[in-house]
Amino acid sequence: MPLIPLTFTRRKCIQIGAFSFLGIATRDLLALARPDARAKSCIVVWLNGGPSHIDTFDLKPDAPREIRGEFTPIDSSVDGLQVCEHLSRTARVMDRCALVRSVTSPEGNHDRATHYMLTGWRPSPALVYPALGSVAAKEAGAGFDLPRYIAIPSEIPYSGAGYLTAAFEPFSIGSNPAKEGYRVRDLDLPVPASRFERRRGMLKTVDDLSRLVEASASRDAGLEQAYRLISSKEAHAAFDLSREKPETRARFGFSTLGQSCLLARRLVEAGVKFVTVNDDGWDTHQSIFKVLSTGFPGKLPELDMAFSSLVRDLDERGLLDSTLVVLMGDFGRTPKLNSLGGRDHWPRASSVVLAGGGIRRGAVHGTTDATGELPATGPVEPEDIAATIYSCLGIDFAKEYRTPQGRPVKVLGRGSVIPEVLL
Amino acid sequence: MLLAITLSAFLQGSEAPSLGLDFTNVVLPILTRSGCNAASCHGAALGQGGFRLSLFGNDPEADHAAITRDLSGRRIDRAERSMSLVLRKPSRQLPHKGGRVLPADGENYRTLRAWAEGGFPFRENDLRLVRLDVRGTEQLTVNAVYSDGIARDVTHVALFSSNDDGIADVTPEGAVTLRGSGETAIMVRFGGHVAAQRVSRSFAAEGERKPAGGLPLKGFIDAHIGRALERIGLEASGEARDDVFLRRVFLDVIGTLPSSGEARAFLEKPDRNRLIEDLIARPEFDAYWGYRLDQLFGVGSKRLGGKEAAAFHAWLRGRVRKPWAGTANAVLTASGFEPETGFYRLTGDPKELSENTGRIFLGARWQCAQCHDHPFERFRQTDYFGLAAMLARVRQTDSGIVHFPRGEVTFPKTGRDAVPVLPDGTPGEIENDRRPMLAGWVTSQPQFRQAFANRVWALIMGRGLVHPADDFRASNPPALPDLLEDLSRLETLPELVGAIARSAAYQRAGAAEWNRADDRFYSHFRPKALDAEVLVDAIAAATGIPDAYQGRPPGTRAIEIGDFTVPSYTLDVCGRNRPGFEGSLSQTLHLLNGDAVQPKLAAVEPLLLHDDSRLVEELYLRTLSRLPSKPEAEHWAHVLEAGPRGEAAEDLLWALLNSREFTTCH
Repeated sequence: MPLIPLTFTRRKCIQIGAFSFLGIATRDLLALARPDARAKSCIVVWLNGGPSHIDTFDLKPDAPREIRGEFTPIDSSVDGLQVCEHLSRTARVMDRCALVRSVTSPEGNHDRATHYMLTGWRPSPALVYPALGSVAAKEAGAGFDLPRYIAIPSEIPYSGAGYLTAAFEPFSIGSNPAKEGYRVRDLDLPVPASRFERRRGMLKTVDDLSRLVEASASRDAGLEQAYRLISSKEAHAAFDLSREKPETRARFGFSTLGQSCLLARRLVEAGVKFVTVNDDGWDTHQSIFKVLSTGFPGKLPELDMAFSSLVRDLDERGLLDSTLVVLMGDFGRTPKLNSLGGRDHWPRASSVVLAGGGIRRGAVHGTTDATGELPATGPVEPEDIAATIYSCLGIDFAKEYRTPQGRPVKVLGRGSVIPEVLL
Repeated sequence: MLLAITLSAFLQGSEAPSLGLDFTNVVLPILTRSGCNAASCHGAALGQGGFRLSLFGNDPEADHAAITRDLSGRRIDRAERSMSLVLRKPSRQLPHKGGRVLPADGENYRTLRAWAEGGFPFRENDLRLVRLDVRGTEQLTVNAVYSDGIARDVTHVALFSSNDDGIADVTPEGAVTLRGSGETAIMVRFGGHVAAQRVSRSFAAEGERKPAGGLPLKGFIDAHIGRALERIGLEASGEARDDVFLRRVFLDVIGTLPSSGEARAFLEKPDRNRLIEDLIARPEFDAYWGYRLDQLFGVGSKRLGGKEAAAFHAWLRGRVRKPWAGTANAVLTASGFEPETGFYRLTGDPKELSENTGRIFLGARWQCAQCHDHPFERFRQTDYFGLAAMLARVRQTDSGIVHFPRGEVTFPKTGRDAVPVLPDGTPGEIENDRRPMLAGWVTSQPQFRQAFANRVWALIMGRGLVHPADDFRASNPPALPDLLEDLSRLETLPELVGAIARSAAYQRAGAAEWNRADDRFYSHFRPKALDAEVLVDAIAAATGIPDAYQGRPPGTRAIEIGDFTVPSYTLDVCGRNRPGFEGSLSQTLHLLNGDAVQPKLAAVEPLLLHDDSRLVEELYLRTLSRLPSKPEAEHWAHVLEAGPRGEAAEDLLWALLNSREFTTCH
């Protein structure tokens, strides 16, 4: 397996950096929180299983058939940038996005790759690191009816608080927003509100009359947060997709992914800091073209409606400049098709799309070689993506946290922003 | 001449012969003390600013080469030695991002300069550090005893840290300041060795010594704890009430609540020792401790397969009353399709197997040692790979678990096969099954017995004598070493659980005003949040409405599932198989609004036949295992009377199930 020496990657990154003449100091400079950070919120659309880069944002029409596959590239709204024919709506919003085509990583196992992408740290046997969303929730602080960090429809492994406390775990809505009559799990009262009020009072009395167990601040805070969420009109409204116009709902598509993206937009509008939309089904080891295009329903048409509508909608509402949108997954997929007409895990090259707060519109960074096997120019690693996300959110990723064992750990151990995609 | 003066200064006037300018024994400790090879500086995996040292100096040869030879020796100046970068950077005569870590007027700098002027030697002597000798309470003095038997004062190159800075602070120079009442250890690190110096400050005011106790000493546990409380001037809480003890001992010994009948019977004739004996004899004891063993091994069908998981679970449950050493030995040497091969089916990676061995049987975290020698711990990377090599040939095949004739693990530093060897240096088998020797070594370690006793103690008492319970290491000494040693002589769960439950320490009431600050001497009982399975079973027991689990006969309790991957939203959201789970918003919502509680409130229906006071009594007995107090009885009778009665009773049950008291073992 060919291997890119990390030193090469690093140096390359720095050389092409805007301040490359500053040499090594550049990284320190870029590690600082950007005062002009514009993203107030972030939505990560996570394509669980690993989307094929060659069949989405990095097509290789000139490669042999067993590599280029069945899809044809089409022009996008960015000059010279082509994407897959099944992403035609997305093609038209690429001028509002930035594309990184040169992400590379050695981690080809789902768990390890997910940990790497979502935390910016290669997995360690000694420590689970907090995911981007948990760090963002921690930095945002408490005091808000809605949870700071929400997972739709449910959380995936390594998207949680890691060594941080449970307060920074994502809140899973626990149900499918595309289902008829969807409700956030356990948010609705099983009894009329007046009776719940009475129950609440009775619980307080039971606790107050019993002196056997001392009050605990964390329990009280947890209960308080639950009560606030239950009784918050804003929260109920934010979760309520029926308040959207039918045309809007249709534009996102009635897939789980589509309605999840719409819900993510509503939550960001309501002030939620970080939303992860998790979409399964991207681990395409077999019949990849069928699964991606016409499969019932095709992954790409679903993604196309959902993602393009998300970007367009945020932009039309004037929210795109304050919302960072990231489209990514575990890793890319093997350039060469396997005997089952699928592509296997390929972490050496993958694509990530960024849009919104702090991101330069229409930017394209990095290329892969003729077969989509390895980055040819501008290689970046998952921690560089993480650094870019933190930077857009104004989070100082050189900052140190402490593990419960008292070990000091930086928010990111390595990694620097990708200046080419930043404003 | 200057050199001789400097070195004698380094040795601080001791009569000991000089260590010379030895890199390992003299120079490296200075770099370590100055933080140069810490993980946040040049000790980072990629170094810092292009200069990489081994983490905390665990590889002296590589470090010597990095300083004297890397970059064609640019870091030293052979012509003008005192102008070497290795001197000018840390003293900040040249810009240094790490700051001025070695002031040029300091003794350590002078020693480093002497070493430079002496020609950057590597080996000056063959002395090995044998042990550290720490003395003092306000100003610690550290003597390093070398293989020549001579002690040398190394206080000013040793590293100090407090295990609990709420109790004591220590300066880099080794001066201790007591901050609060209690006892902790100051850890001293030097040359790859670690030593602990206990420091304490009494809870009692000057001149006033509080008597320890409130309860008679009941056995060795109380003798040890009593002495500690006396030493530290702590007065223990009194004895817990009978009803409190009842609920506590049911939850801790068999993991479930007493029925209201059992509660009434005990409260009428409260014989504590008899109850403990009865509980240990019940089959629920096997179910509950079988569940704890499942948890320890991580039994689940996802990694094991359904049949294998069920077999391993049943086998572990069958081992509950048998000696732990026998269980460990059987597990570590299991072959073929024996149920206990489950251990080897959980993972096929010898490194992970070795880590599991350390965690499950020795309460140790070996993961760090895969990549580097643990800072200052005795368990080194070579130990890690020596042990992994002993598990390198275990394979899962068509004939079950076999010891294969081939297979090794690679030692990353050399890229060669790791040699099977025990941490004490005994070479392992090469050709035959390598595991019996490993099992023999594991089960003969004092730490093996201690880790098990400590785990059981932690589950029952709420905090391990070694805390966290799976973090045995030299720099994390037990709070009461003698107690741990005595406790570890008990070989089976019935003996351990019985001894702990009978102790006065276990039977104490909760924290009192005067001992609330104590978190490690068991002066009061520490309330614990119920674990997911126990909580869910408690709700089922209190309401009399059982849960149903996929593929399990009706009436199976959560602790009896024997598979942490059987689907259950309620168990997942309550933190199933996540020790130390702190609760979550989803869990709170699920208990307030969800189907964990709501559908079970129908349990009040048959109780409505009783009069109000009996109804309230029943609800309290079923949920909190006690009778309501007078204010409680009066208040709820009033609420029921105001009605509507059915709804009010349901809501009271709801409130009780969500209460602080119900969700805690206290």
